[in-house]
Amino acid sequence: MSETESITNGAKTTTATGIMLDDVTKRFPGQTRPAVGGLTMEIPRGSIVMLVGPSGCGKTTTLKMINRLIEPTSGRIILDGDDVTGIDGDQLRRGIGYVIQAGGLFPHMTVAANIAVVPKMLNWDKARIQARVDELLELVSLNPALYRDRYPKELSGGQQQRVGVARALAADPPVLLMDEPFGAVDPITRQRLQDELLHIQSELHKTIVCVTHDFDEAVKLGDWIAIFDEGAQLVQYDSPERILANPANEFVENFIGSGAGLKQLTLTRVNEVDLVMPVTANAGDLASDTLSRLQGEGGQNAVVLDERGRPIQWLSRRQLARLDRHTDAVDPKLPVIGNQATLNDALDTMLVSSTGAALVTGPRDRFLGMVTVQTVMEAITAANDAAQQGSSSAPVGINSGVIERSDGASAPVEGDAAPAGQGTR
Amino acid sequence: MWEFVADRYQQILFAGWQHFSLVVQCLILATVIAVVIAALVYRSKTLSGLANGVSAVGLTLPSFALIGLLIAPFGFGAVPAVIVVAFYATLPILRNAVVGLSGISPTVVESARGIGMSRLRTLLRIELPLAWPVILAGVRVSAQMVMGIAAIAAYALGPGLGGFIFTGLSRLGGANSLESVVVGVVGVILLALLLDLLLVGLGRLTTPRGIRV
Repeated sequence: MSETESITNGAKTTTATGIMLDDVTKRFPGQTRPAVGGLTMEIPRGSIVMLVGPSGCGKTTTLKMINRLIEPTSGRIILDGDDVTGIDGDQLRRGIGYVIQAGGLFPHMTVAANIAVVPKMLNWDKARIQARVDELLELVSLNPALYRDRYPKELSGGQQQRVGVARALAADPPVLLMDEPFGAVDPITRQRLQDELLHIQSELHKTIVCVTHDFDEAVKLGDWIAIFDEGAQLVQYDSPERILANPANEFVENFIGSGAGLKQLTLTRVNEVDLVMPVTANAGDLASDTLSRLQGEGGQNAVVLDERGRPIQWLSRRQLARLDRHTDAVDPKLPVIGNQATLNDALDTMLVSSTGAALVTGPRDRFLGMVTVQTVMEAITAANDAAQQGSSSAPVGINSGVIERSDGASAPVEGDAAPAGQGTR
Repeated sequence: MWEFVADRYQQILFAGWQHFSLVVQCLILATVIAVVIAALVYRSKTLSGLANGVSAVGLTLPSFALIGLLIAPFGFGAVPAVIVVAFYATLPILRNAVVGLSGISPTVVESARGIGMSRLRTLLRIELPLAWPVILAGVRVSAQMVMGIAAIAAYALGPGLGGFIFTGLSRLGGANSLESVVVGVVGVILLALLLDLLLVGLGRLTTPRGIRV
């Protein structure tokens, strides 16, 4: 993740800080414990920060204090270097995108009118609003001509969520806050929406703060993950890789759930690991030649390529021995994956193929090499080592005034080796 | 009967028009008052309960008694009639407005606030339009009810078809007395039906397609 590295290296200077929560506390009347206790948290500009934690841990309260839907009891909120704790809340919110579960669309307005709400409040002229609406609908993959004049009830859940995102982006705010945005849609739609969000983010580079209770979603979307315990105590604030490889304590381990190693596989792509090059042959070659080369190298299988370098067959020694020349017949059951696939996909393909390996193709389906179970294991180990040893460039995240947790242990206050220098581990 | 109507049709039409006009004007006034009160109370459970209580108790007051009470300070004429009709018209609308406003999904309100709408703008642009069908249902109930009350208000010599009913009843058995009562009653019924039709049409025109059932 060299991209996030460069972003966070820049984030150490205050000018690049998207959002800064400075010793923010929220007490609700009639409650002894603060919902958010002395939270100081830096959210680097242009990155996606996921706030995760059990329900009632104060993550949503934290999110809503950024746009001051909930006013902090004490502390400061700094947006792009400006203290926004005292300015008019409505003005502030017009400059911050806000997406809630199921989109929160206004049912009595058309899709276009919903998206146009903020630009209208900012007094844009009609032509500009109309152009912007169409642009945004295109961005969230909805055909403007088809959806512009529909009402929310005429849309599916996923489409409503898309319109919700479009509405939040209407005035091109630098910051986007999302409160469990994909909680109300089915798993397949959710995955698609997540992919689309990543796609949109790769174009727009917003500072996104997203609340979720789904750790897998956090791993998938987040550049950084903040794990909260009761009272918005930051237990760990670090990159997904480091949290998976190096959970701060048992609470985080429990939260990650089982299969941390498997989750790590979704973080690495096939093009990031070293591929094994098997013996290859071209269609039309003598099979006996291939067999002798295979025996020479001690391999078990050889890959047959067509004239454009695409893999078409994957033959064992026994199959080779029975052949005279390689045909150009295409084996439809070849375990092929693209080099953009995650190691998780690769492993899946391997297990189905029963050969313990998968063939990797690059642009135009050209054969690049082979990924084996061993490659995957090595990649996990390497990622673990890197995460254990590598210096953390995680953003600042601490709580002042440590609050006794219900189990009596004092809450760890930061991601380990975070630059605040208060490491508790 | 026909003679009675034919002789006085201009008088009947004029009284009918006055009756209708009294009811409609009072309804408009009542809707404004009810919505303003509802907007002030709907976010507090206690105040909403109080408003509902007042509207329930208010409806049990006999309108005839209320008119009698109002004649002392305001005298005869249109003023006590307007006060009574508007008072009764307000009650069902108030009740529906409170129900409609507090029935709006909190997520919609939250997202309105979250994208920078002020309290007032949220109320005017989001909450009232969404509660409008429920409020309008209250207006229809009110309209039916105060058609009859407006007739009673003629006791205070207010305008309207009630005059025919009261003069007829006061000299029952006399010439044309029954005709007079019948004209009054039938006129009120016809006006009530007409007004209800108009309100249904208004509902069609003013309810956005997105929240039509």
